[in-house]
Amino acid sequence: MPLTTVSNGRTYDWSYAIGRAAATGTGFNYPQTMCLGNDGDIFVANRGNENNFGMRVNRLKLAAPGEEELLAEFFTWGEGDGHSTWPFGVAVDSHSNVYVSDEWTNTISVFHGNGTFLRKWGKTGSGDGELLRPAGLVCDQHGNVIVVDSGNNRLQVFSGDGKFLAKYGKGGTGDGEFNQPWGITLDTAGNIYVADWKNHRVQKLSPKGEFLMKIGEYGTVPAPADAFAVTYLGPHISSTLPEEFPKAGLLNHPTDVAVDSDGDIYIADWGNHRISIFDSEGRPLTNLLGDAQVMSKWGQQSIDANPDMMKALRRVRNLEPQWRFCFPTAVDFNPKTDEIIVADSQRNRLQIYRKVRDYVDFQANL
Amino acid sequence: MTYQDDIGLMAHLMRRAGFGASRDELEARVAKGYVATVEELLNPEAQPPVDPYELLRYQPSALLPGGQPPMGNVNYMYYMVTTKRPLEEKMALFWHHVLATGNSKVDNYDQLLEQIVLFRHNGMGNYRDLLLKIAKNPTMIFWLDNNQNHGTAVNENWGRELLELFSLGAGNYTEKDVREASRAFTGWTFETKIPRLPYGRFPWKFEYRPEDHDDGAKEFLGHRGHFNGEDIIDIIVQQPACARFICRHLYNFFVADEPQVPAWSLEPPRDPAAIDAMATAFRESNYEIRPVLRLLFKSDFFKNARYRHLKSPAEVVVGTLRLVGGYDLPKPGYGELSMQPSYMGQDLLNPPSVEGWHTGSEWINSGSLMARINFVADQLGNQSLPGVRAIIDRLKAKTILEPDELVGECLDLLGPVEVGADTRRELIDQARQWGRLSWDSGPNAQIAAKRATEMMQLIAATREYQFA
Amino acid sequence: MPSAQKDPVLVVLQLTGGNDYLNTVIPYNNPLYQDNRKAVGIPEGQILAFDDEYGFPPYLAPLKKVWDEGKLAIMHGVGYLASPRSHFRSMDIWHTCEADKVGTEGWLGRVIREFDPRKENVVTAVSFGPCLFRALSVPGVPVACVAGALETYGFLPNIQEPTQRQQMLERFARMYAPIEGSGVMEYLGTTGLDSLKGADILKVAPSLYSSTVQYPNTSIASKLRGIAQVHLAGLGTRIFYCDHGSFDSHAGQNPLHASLWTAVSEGLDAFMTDLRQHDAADNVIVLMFSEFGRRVRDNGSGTDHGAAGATFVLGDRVKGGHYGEYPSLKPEHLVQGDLNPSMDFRGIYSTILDKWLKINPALIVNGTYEQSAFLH
Repeated sequence: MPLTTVSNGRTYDWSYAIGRAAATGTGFNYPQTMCLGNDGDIFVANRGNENNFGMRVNRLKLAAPGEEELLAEFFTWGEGDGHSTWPFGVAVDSHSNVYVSDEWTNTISVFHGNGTFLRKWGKTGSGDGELLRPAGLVCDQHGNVIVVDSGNNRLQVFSGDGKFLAKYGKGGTGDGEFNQPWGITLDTAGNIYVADWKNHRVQKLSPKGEFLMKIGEYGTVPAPADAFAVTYLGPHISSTLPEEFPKAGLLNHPTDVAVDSDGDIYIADWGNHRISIFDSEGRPLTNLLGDAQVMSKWGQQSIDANPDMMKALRRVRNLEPQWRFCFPTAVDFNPKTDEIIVADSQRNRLQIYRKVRDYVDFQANL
Repeated sequence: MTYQDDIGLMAHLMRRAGFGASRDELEARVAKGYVATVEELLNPEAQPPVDPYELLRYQPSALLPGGQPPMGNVNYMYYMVTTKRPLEEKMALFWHHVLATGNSKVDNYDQLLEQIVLFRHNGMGNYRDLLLKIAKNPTMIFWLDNNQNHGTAVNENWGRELLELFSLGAGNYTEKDVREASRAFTGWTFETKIPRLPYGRFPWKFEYRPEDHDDGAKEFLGHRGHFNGEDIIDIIVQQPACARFICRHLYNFFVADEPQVPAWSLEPPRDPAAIDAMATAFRESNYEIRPVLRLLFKSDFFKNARYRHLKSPAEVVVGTLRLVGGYDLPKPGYGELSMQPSYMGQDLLNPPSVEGWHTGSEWINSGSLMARINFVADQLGNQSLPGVRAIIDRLKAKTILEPDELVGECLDLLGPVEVGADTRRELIDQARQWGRLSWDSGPNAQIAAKRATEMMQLIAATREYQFA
Repeated sequence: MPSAQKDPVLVVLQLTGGNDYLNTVIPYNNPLYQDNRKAVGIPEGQILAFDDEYGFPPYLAPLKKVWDEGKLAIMHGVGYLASPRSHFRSMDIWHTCEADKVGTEGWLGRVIREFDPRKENVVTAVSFGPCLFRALSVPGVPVACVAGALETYGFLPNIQEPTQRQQMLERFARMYAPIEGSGVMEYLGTTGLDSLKGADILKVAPSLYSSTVQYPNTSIASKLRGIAQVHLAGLGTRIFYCDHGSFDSHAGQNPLHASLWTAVSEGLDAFMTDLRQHDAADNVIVLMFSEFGRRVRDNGSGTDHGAAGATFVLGDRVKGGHYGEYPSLKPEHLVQGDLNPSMDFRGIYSTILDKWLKINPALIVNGTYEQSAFLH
């Protein structure tokens, strides 16, 4: 599989991977969502596990490949202010305040960018301002926070200090209706994109919450007969992959969405283990499947400390399963660098691609 | 038969073919009928499967949990507690008992869960096909060292257990048969897997290496040929001992406790006629499991075996959680819940050895008895759980309960549980201490609800409640 | 206060998860230590040196005190051949003494059976933890497992009104009256009554206990306090078992290791002080082990599963000092990046069985292993 994907006049070049499985420190533990900061940094909300470790938001500095650094960790497991049970969403406002959701305690907490707890709000319920399993969230240009209130199948808009302002949507399968939505993003015009998880689609709403467009319908392609399943839910690695595998435009429990500076739309097609790319009208362009052929910096440290892992790695016949996404949960586009950043959840890493605008093709007879 | 008898029989079926059922469910099933319910259980495809995506959204680490508990247990427990296909799940547990593989050596809960998925999908299908699948299952290959079984150096671990524990039982083959079977499985191994560092677990993939296979002539159970593993399995299933062995396992699991497996070559079954009938159905259907189960659940020997089976810890925990409700979301705390069977002596996905768990009275020791009673009592005492509320609401509908009525109703709604006269007398004496319970006012209703949960806890502590 | 009986008692404290040997007993003068421990190395200025070669990290200060008193034996390079680096398998090997096959009997379960073959004392062994550790597990051998606080140990802990509770437990006793010849019902009856008896016996312990020693507020300290209470009540308990963890420090090792060892060493300090104040320390030794040590080279944040580790025995009757040899850190001596075990753990068990519990070790550990002289 190529490291550079050229399709429909666009070029995407795999750049590097960051991370490894780690309950704390330099790595991740099942990222659910992530969010770009204002200074070339990124915040990742880690779900953790039932041993009550791994839960946290970590803030990383992104630079060139191999120059990533861990800047801060907060919202770790525990009771009381500043701690979490089930971390889910993370968003940053223009003042670099960080908003995070906890879908077990049904609260939104606010931190200073350095990890200092500032305040929180939230009450369990379905009334105005009440929350049930708040998932992704996003800060708009007015300093408000739009929360995916997944258990109530709606969006709620709060002021930065937690005052209820508006709500959009209800449970259902119709336009503007949701079924356990997950991630959310805004385009530069303030339009709202929501990953409508259990309806297997992304919906685009106006800044006022009116339905504008939907992308995708449910679909997976059956695993080929010779497939090697990385888990019983895929990804299915096969030497006879059909061209369209899985077919473009079909989504399986999408979890997140991003919009680039050209208006192209990136969907984390979680259950199909890929990023599906669409143009601004919702026409399918191509898919990214994950291409981490080069070990991440922190991953390499683990290999260096464990010679038997290296030995095993050198004996493996097909390393392709290690390159591929396994349940990617989140996707972001960095307009400053043209980078597409993907949270590869089950692999506890980020994979970073670059949208190449000045790609000059090489001579075909090389 | 009275309506109450129908409920009692349906409750028996659901405890054995599943993990019990609420009174609402029992009433709905009685309305549908016993035979129709048996058919529904035998054909699980008509019911929706457990949604794995729901589990992964809330507990993503349950997919590839690695070698440490409890996330693998969370995954398995979530399926057992929420399944709408109870017999499919019960059969997966059955095969986990028989084709026992453990994390103590495998150190990969993901691989053990993959095996459970295999059992879930094939547990009621063809036994020969299942044996072949498990022979090619890398987890089993590693567990019984078949990756060390080479054409030039035979390792007999898999070959021996295949005959002794998975198909025929001791006494039905010779040491030479073990050797020859093992030779036939040389070269059945797996590819080098991608190591777990730094990105988490990757699976094994079965691999057949013809250059490592001993293709020489073999003599196995009276047959001669250049056998490969698949031929060995074909010969095994044709043995009369095979049908009897598997059916005795089914009888022990679903009908009534038999002695432990090592004693089977010495002690006859408690009901030889039942085993014969099942074995005949097994052979006539060409080793399909489903017809045997159909015969079993419709038989008198099954219907008359109420409370002749000591509940396994998995049955205690899953049955209780399904009864009390409130565990549909894989919520925080599932980890501790899913370890409860291990505290009672059944560490799921990690049986003590290839022999699986010893069952029946061997589930009970002074520690495990306290663990099981206290776990059930703890759940039944929690009035915030919907299933506990539902029981209290049914009691409440009676408005007033005399002491003997309280005992009768609680025994009924928790089973119906059948208790001896001495036990019933103690329960009634306890209820008499409390006097008549009434729901006529707020404070009285509060006391009545509390007493009802205390009565249920005392019932859970009885000897009789340890049986299904 | 009843006087504690003087039969030798063994307390096992299991360090679950794989304790990092190199950062527990630090070979601080070996340049290979800092070379391999760029991320998790303990800076030399912080190390509590106890001789020219070795020292503890600062958070083991209470254990350093025991060392200075000459009552801490450090067993070096402990393990066995072909270490599997799996928590489960390694723990199983330590628990069953079976390194080559899956064992079914725990070594301490066998000890209990030797001590009390007719099951006359249901509290011969008391385990503090939610489950029966495999080391204690032998079919038919009773072990009291205290999952929560000793004060609430027993059946139906939810029913708390004292008279109500009393009535219920009396009913329980009557309902479990063994009906002779009733097979499994009789067995259930006997087991239920044994279990009830164990709870009755154990729950007396906290009420008999009084002490001026303040235990820290950690889970391991409350387990050790429970052990002290039962021991001081003189109930004939010979084996105590508890664990603390998880020492599985793959990431962010230093703060984790510090908090775990602070809890263990402060808890042990309180425990030993408590026993001494009650003149009940001289018949107790504590065995502290972990299922494996960790990799020599750190992974930039923590350390991964390794092989050889350190095992500790402490108590007033212990002859303090180093036993065995610290395995070489030289690359050419490592096995898959790990310290090569130089002492078989079954030798340590054998010493304790032979010199302390006075049981023929061969019966328990399935073989003869070289003993060390760490007991007076």
